[in-house]
Amino acid sequence: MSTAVAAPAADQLRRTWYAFSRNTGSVVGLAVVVIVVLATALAPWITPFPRHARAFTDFEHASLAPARPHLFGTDTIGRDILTRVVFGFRFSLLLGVVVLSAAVPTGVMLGLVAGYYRGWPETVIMRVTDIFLSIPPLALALAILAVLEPNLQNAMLAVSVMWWPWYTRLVYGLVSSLRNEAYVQAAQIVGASPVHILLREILPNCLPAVLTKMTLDMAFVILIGSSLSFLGLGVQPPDPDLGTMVADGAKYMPDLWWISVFPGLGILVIVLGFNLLGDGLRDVFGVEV
Amino acid sequence: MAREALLDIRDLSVSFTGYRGVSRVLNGVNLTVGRGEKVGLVGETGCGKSLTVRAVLGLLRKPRARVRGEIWFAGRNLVGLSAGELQLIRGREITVVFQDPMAALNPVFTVGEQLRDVIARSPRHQASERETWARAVAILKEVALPDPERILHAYPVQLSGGMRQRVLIAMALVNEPALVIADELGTALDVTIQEQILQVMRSLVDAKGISVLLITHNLGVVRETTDRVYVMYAGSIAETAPTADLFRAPKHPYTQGLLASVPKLTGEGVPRGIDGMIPDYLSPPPGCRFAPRCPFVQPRCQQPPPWVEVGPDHALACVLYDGAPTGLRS
Amino acid sequence: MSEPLLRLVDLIKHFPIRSGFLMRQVGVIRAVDGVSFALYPGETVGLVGESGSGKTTLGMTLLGAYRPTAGAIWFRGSDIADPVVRRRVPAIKKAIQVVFQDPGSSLNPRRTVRQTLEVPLRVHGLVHTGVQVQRRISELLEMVELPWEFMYAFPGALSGGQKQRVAIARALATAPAFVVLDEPTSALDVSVQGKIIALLLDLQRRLGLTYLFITHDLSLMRNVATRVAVMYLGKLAELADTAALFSSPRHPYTRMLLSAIPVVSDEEEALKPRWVAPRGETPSPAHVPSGCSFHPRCPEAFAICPRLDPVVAATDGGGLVRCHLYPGCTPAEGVDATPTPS
Repeated sequence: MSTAVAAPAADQLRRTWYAFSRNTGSVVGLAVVVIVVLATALAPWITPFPRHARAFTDFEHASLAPARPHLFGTDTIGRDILTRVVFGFRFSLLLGVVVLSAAVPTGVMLGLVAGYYRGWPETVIMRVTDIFLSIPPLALALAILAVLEPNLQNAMLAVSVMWWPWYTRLVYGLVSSLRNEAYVQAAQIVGASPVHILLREILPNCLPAVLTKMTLDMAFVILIGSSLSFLGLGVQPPDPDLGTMVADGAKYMPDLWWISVFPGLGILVIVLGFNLLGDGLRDVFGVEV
Repeated sequence: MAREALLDIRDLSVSFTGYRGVSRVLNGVNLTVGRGEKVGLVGETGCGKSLTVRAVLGLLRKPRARVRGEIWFAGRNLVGLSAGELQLIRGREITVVFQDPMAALNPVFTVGEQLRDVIARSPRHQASERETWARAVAILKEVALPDPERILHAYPVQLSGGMRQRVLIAMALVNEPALVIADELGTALDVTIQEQILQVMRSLVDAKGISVLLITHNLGVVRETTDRVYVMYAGSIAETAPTADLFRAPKHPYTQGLLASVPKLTGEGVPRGIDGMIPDYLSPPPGCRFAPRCPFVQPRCQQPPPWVEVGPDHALACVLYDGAPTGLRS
Repeated sequence: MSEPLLRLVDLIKHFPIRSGFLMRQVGVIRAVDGVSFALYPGETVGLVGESGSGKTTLGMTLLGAYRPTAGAIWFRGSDIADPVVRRRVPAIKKAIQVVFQDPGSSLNPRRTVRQTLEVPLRVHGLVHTGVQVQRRISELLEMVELPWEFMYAFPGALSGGQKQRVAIARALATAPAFVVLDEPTSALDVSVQGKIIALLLDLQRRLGLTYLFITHDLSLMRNVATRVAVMYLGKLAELADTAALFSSPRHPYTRMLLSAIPVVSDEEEALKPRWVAPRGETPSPAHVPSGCSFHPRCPEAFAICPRLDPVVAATDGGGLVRCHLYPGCTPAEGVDATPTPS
């Protein structure tokens, strides 16, 4: 009995890790994400030509095919592609993190309120959510960026605006069923306030699903961010962004294929990593998102 | 009671590998069901009843589950049969009546469509649509469902709990299997309906000579429905006896404790139950797994308990009955 | 008898059935349909009935989870059927508590025992400091015979019986007078049930609690309840002292229930009433049969039963019964019943 009580949280963690580690895909996803995060954090120290990350020209070494010391080759003004891809991950991750930290709390809070309080809060919040969800995401972001000046900040803003409704709908669905759980009824009968019930009883039980969706959404947000950059509406040169780099290199395909292909593979790797990780979390938590 | 055994489980062990190590859940189960016999398998939650059934049905997957021992069914050892061979036995020769009729019926198909699919699986299947329909109507009549034609056109949600349970029984019996496994039959239903369901089941299997393995924690249902009982504790059989004998004179301390735990209509107060819990299967007690909860525990219980015959068809796993009769009250 | 602690007067809880685009009301579920009885301090009233009998709705209405459609619930001089009264007098919320059926779902899996037990204490201002919380929760766990270290456990680490003890501790946190026990042991193994019941009865004796014990397990009620109320389709069929109800059941439905109980010994078999073969199923409370709602299943139904709904009458044994077989149950025709052509 006493062993069951000892450090339940740690035991839970070990159990979760055991289930997670059974799936090769999840572990690969986690490894990719960890490596990408570490690589971006240490980019100035581990990349061969950190100076190439920004405005830099070296026409003597321009358009070199992949070979030492430029393993991924160089672009038309002589910058090392490998370096720029690693630095490019920074903008992708930054976009993902900023967008989700803006969209998730907003969406979750609205979803909690709409799911718990029936009547007009539900109607208003869910109808607005429906309207947002009915517009294709990229179209909405393009519309916003058509009005605002295209740069990274505005791209983040545009993507955030179109992202929160997904969380509202997810949490709304969860709360609609969780509010009928016996422990919620028990808390109500004991006299707990709605704020307590929403934040302490219901919210923690929504978090596994929210966390899983966030992981999967990192991939989507990065993809959308890259698309915007590809269209010239996101990160502006000379900052290295994977989408921008793909766009730049597209003009020289197929002769200087490495200028586009390596940033493209970069997008593929990071998106796949987050997707695999998200799928693994979904299986472990047993949630639907 | 020397009946020919239809199902003969010999020394069945099942272990699982989990993150905390290897759980040896089933620990040498021996169980037989004779042809036409109704056998009950009772025990507390987590004692291995359902696992035994899943092993018989071949639903335990490697590599997580390791199955050892033999499961003889109509002359074949089910352990080691391929998935395809098991598929032919499941649903034809061995069928299951599940506990929750709502979960066991597909909500998007009518009762008739689902029953027709079951009939189509029969090895004696006749091609004619009309004959299939006639058989469906006939079996619904046999489970005492009024207005079978209407019920065949109904969706499961349109039926009451008792009707759904009858439909499940119909589906399990329509192909006249050799063995029906009933998982907690009727215990999710109200007593007045449960009683009717049990009655229908009893009369049908008796008429058709079908064997029944009834898995339940409800001792009253077992007493009313079965010919013989196996009492299971922590992955092995504690005691087996003809039903009447077991309820009149239980011998194993666990059986005694379990029977004594049931509140009685005689109104003697609520019994105290059995102290302690089912052991952790990762590190079960050596020897008798019931020893830590047993009021008669003694040093010999550190050894695996002997299997002792104490009467006709009545045997149990307990040192108290080994050799000379002891002064134990029963 | 002493003054009742709780008195239900013609309590009604109907749920509207809405359908269509405009959510127009198309029918009504008569979950609780005019129930009157009283609970006396220190007693355990067993409330038995099958699915659709309204026993759980009745319990939830007493707890204030539903607002009654009509009728009164008198408790300590106020009618707590009125939600305004309930809101204004916080003492009522403290005094009426519940233990749910399945401790696996009535405890939040993501909150420790301490976090769960802290809520009622904080909400009702019973504790103010961390030290007080610690001490009071230790006391509560001691009352339910759990070691204090359990306060740091998550429900997932506890057995079914231990979880139910925590749920009992939560109900006791506000020092209630009346506790609704909604099938508190039906999710537990029979070997564990006894200890939970013993604990509940011990707490009742020590703290002077009054219980409404909702269950479908008649054998259990035989050993636990002071009196037993049998409900059928939202109405009381019979209410009697436990021993009397089991030895001489009056209502045909009670007899049918008793004769259907699966028992484990021949002595018990002998105690069951003359065999009444159960027939049919409880109809949906959305389509209550005319007259006496039990008449389609009743082996003793006669001409008047489908036409006229019986009223509750006192029996010579001090109980209540609602069946035309008994004097006083048949109302004068046309006065307070609407005869339906059959």
